[in-house]
Amino acid sequence: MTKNSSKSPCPVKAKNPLSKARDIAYIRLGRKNLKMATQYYLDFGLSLLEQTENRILFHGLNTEWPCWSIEKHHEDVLLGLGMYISSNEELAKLKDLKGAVYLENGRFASSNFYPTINIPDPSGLSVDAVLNSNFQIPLPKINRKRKQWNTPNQTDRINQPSPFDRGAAKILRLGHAVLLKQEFFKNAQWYCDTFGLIPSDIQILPDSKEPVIVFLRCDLGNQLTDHHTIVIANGPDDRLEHCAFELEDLDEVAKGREWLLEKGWKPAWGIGRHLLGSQIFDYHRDPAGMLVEHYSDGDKFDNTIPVSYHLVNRKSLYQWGQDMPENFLDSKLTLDKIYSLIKGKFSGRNIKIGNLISLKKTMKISPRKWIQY
Amino acid sequence: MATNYIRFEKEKKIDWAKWENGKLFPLLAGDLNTKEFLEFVKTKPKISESSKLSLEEVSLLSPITAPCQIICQGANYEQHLIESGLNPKEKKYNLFFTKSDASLSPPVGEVIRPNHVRLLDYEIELGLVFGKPINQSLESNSFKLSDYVSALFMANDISARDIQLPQMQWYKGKSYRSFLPAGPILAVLEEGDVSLLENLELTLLVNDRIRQHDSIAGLVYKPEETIQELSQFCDIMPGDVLLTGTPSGCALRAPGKLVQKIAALLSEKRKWELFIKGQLKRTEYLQPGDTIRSSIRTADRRIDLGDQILKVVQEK
Repeated sequence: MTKNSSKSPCPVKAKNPLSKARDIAYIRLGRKNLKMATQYYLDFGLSLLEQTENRILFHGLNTEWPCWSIEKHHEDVLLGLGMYISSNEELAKLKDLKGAVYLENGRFASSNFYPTINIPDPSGLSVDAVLNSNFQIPLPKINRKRKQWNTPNQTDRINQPSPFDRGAAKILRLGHAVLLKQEFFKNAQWYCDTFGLIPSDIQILPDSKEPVIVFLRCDLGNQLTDHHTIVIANGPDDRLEHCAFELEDLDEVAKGREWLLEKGWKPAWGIGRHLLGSQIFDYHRDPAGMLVEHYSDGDKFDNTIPVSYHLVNRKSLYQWGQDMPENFLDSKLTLDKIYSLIKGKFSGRNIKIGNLISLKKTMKISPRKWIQY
Repeated sequence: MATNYIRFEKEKKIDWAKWENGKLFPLLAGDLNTKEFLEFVKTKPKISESSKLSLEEVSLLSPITAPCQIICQGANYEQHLIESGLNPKEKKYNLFFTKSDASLSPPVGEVIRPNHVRLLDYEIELGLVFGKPINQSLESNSFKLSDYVSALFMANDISARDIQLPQMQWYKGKSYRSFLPAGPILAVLEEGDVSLLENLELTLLVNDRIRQHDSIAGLVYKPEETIQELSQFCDIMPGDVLLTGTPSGCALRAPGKLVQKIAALLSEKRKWELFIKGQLKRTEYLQPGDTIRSSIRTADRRIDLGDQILKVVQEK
């Protein structure tokens, strides 16, 4: 086999996907310490929806639907995710998939009754397709008065300083999830084939030109949707790299940061503006060490915008902002990850170790080596 | 920011349209050639919002029209030079060649492989469209790129390597009909756009696998010095184009230095027989049924030359 023919293809929009997901619905996390996780996510800005001994459900201000479920578990781990679909036909098609389980009353029976199909993705992650026939991204309920800005051309705020709210960020909704996968292409194409997701941007390795990161958006036809709802990235193990929550504006992002820092929680990277997707971002770490992001002002695309290809490196992640800290990308090869790799290899997975090494190498190169904080 | 236009056919009528946010706004300009169109847009035509079209409703045409002069640069990306066994630092001259304008073809459609050709290759390139005549030698540093270059477009410099190299027929090997898919977008430049050129990323995929990817920053001879050099030996008219060379990753792979030395001892006939035999082992050459997709744009999509989708077919 020549070097070229063993190269992975890029994930592509499916001609006849089984469904067309409307948005991400929720993330389910297992946590050893439920109490601490609850306190953290309240400080992070989520609203409490339902609390039992073994499970806490949170929602964003946009809706009363759960978008974040913290469940009692013996380890800190991703348990699953949900995607909204909108028709019975889609539900029927997904029902026929191998390993599909029908949850008539939905995943969280006490708070919503959306019929749900549970299916495993290629890496075995539990994925729920949640039927919500009237789905549309609801308009945010924001009570705050629109912030007044003074610009060189226009003075809106007269005879008064700029008031800065204090408190936890007001989270509107869960925006996207970034999943690391040992088998990149297989998983990425599965999300395109199963949920009709479309690649917005694909990042490739500098020498081999192998794709390693894909930003996938929903296909809502001529309606606008987030630049990415699910991101699949090549990783040494299968896990959730981070989730991002939408806030109203830059001030709200800064407000959320202030509040978390005051409460003594760990920041991770920010504030800055992404390049692919354009969001203003601020990353933090929850008590389990997992990254979570506050963002605002992301790109919205319809289905006419074609995929774009870029080299992967640190500079490709932001247009401006604080330099990415050395420890932001968890690229340390821990015993756990080595074990995951060996396990994956033995179970016959097509894991490209060369890609992982190359990815690690290219992500190490700082775009501004001369800055020392 | 550059303004994007396309040339299209709908119901057997040719027209130009402005391309904005995924929609086409027909200009009712009629079947203008590239030169006439560049003049036409200077009049700032009014655009009717009501008549917008989607891509599916039209057939895309090359925004570059014949007759025109097509000047090409060879071996002009650092990585491509390294791959060809050359040292970019030792490159002493700008390599020029031309293609026939009969090779111009639509950006979405077919590339026809002639029956006697086995080594069909692809080359994604950034194309520059001249908007002002050049008929005398230009001093270096005395002009800005934007003085002479009015627009950008994407080109695929298709070649028949088994005609180009063994027969030393560059013109013929690169000029068969359908060997220059161009467009879809004609990006008419505005003040300040030139500084964005370095951020343009070129990508070419065959059957969804990436073969070529580089940015304009990798150019060895930049457009200004190339145009200055061209002005010393040829005349250029508005509507003429310059293809700036292709990044690494073509199907063609030059034999190593040692093999070249040994080959030099062989007869010309034997040498090229071995060359073709060697190249035929490479799976990268285009075959009927292959799909070539390519794009040129900046990561922030401020400059976007659109997407080419081409199917390789055998000559009938």
